Amino acid sequence: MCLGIPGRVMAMLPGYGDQLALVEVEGAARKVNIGLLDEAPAAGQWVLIHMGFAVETTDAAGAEQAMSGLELMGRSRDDGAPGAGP
Amino acid sequence: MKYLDEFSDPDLAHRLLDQIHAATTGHWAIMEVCGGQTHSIIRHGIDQLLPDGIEMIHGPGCPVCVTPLEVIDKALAIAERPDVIFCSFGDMLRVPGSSQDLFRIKSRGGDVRVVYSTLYALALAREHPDPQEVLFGIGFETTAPANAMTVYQAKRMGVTNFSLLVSHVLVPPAIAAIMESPSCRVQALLAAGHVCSVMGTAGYPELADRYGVPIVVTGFEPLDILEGIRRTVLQLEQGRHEVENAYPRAVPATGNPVARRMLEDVFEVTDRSWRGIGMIPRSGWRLSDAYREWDAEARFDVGGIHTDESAICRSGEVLQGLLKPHECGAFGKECTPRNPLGATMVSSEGACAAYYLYRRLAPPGPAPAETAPAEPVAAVGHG
Repeated sequence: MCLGIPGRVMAMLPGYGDQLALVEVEGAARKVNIGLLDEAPAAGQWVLIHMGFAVETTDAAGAEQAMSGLELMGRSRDDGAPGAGP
Repeated sequence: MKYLDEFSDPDLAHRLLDQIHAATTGHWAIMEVCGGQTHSIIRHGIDQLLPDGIEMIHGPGCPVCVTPLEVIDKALAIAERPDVIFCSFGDMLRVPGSSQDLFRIKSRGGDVRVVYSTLYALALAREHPDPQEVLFGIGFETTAPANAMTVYQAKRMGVTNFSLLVSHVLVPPAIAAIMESPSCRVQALLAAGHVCSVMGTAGYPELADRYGVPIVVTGFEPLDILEGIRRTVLQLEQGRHEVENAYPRAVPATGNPVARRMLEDVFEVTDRSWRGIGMIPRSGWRLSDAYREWDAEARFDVGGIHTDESAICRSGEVLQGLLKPHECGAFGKECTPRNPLGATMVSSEGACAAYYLYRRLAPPGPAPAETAPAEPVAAVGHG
């Protein structure tokens, strides 16, 4: 229940006070309320959904940075160098 | 799926495990607060891959599990009424009350509906003006914004046949209660990423300082959890106790300001009982005065509830990290997901359900079920 579900915004839906977006979740199109976000997400953006509401947009830069850090750590072991710190 | 699959990469997981093994010299007990993290740890066998010196203690972060029996019984009393459509998230239907559950009421003809979006309950109320629509509003800071928004919309649209049965609870006061328990063995915490997506991380430095524990915010995929553990171990080994965010893709430091404003408007902080744990001061939300008219407890006469908890269920100790699920004498015998004695065996975020689904372990050594139950962390019993 407390686990947010990620989905990718397909499009905003006309009407509904500009608060509903069509979001692809695991291949299915769902209507998701985006009224709790600062601004309407763009098509293609990933959002975290709780109980029909998008509560956060996924920070692509944050994700890439985290993944780069993890991959860098992996390479450092191969190179025999000490692991990267936090 | 984007941002999930990459964070399950087995090669990177092995490399992270190597780092954790290399860094660990002491014996450390780390609590993952969230039940979603517990399931991921057990499902992927992460705890079995860690160094012997690291023990993962499963925390109370399962909203279904900690909803007090008294509230469950109130929900059942309301759902039984012929003039009520009772809306709930699916996890709650099999949670045992004192004598029955929502499934049983539904099977006897009660109008109990599973909803995936809180606004569906409000739409029902607008479509059916005669019956009362009641939404079961439970959960942590993650589910609260959706419920708050729904009550806000009900007020804005003047929907008077809708109400919310509120039992929201908050993570930081629960962490404080656990850390102050005389039985507490927790030396570090993995904080629940999605709670922080809403609330941010500002509440944690004070806890880290007060209890001298590292707190690392992290997510739910294997790499998220391993990275959280790696950072935690580094802090423990170096004698640090800081707050780190290992889940930046979903957790801005400030959380979600719009959701937080909504929560501050619709709810106010109150004392809450936690099932299996007891009363924790200022550990939950109730509707604020401006929205009290939509409070189901006030609308329906459900006072005088007498609760009757299972005598052999030890879920309270499981929720406090004092007992592993398979160490309970009823685990897998009297208590299974199909016939649960406690909510921890019901929920998709409950530790007992995780152990049952992924391991079915027998209790090691002499039956610990015969030992005296540990003291609850808070002063007052549950219910």
